Amino acid sequence: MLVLHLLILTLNRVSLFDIYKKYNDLNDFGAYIFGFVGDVDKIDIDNMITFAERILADNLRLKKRLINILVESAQNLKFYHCRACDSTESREVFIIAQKRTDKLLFQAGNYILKSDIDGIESRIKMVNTIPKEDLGNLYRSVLDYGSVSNSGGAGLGFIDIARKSDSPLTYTLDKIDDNTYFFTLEISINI
Amino acid sequence: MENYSLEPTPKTPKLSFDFKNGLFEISGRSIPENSIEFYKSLMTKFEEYILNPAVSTHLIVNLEYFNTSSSKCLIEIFRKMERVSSNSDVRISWFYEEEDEDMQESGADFKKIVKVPIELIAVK
Repeated sequence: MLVLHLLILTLNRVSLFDIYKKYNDLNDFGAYIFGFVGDVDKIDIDNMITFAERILADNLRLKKRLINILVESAQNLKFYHCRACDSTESREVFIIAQKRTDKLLFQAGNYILKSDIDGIESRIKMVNTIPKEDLGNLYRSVLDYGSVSNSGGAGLGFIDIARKSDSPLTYTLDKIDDNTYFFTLEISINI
Repeated sequence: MENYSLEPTPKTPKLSFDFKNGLFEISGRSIPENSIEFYKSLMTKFEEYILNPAVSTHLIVNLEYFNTSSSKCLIEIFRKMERVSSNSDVRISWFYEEEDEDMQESGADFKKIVKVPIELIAVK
């Protein structure tokens, strides 16, 4: 009886979410540019930049755009993941970049606190709503007047990503428990 | 005052600030996680330079990639160049690869904000 009770308690704590399954489901390995799934502290940006430079060597615009999105997204991902560190034992995140026939697809996934969702959603909705030509004005305004937070964030990350993306930013949320969700951001760049 | 220089790394740029002759260069990648920390010493040195600048001050920016937190540090450096301009002939050269429209646009963004001349120079 005690064993059954402990088992039920354990099952209640363990989410059915499987980051490795999600990573594999999203990844079309034939179109792979670079990818990473694992401990947040083991993300090797330099290595991913090297892969992007090699695979996209013949297209400077795409290469630079993808690398900028990678750098910015990885820093967002680490920031929000670290805030959720205390409420989840999982330290895994993922990053995927794929080259499809007509676009580059970049996806980044990390655990986030439920309390951070509203802030992230409102930033994404804002940059998706503003016409592309006005994003430049918003970027310059934040660059000119905004301040830098203690974490080093400048409030420019999502604006910069949206400027470099060719379609609205999309995201999914998988519920882990009452306090934690898994957030996946998707960005595409036309080839 | 002593010059300030740092060698480039995969995440941080080369910084070469010849304060005696007013010749400054930032080149390479500027994608550190904590840009404020990286540029902190330079900012302190720059404050000293503002008090007694060279006759002319030329800043070359030739970046391959930079993150948004670095862009806040760059604007701070450009603001210091604005302050230098009251006692020195100041110019900023922003280099970008010819096909790199994003880096060109970034230079144009700074040009719209900063009150000292920024020349955008395409490199083949």
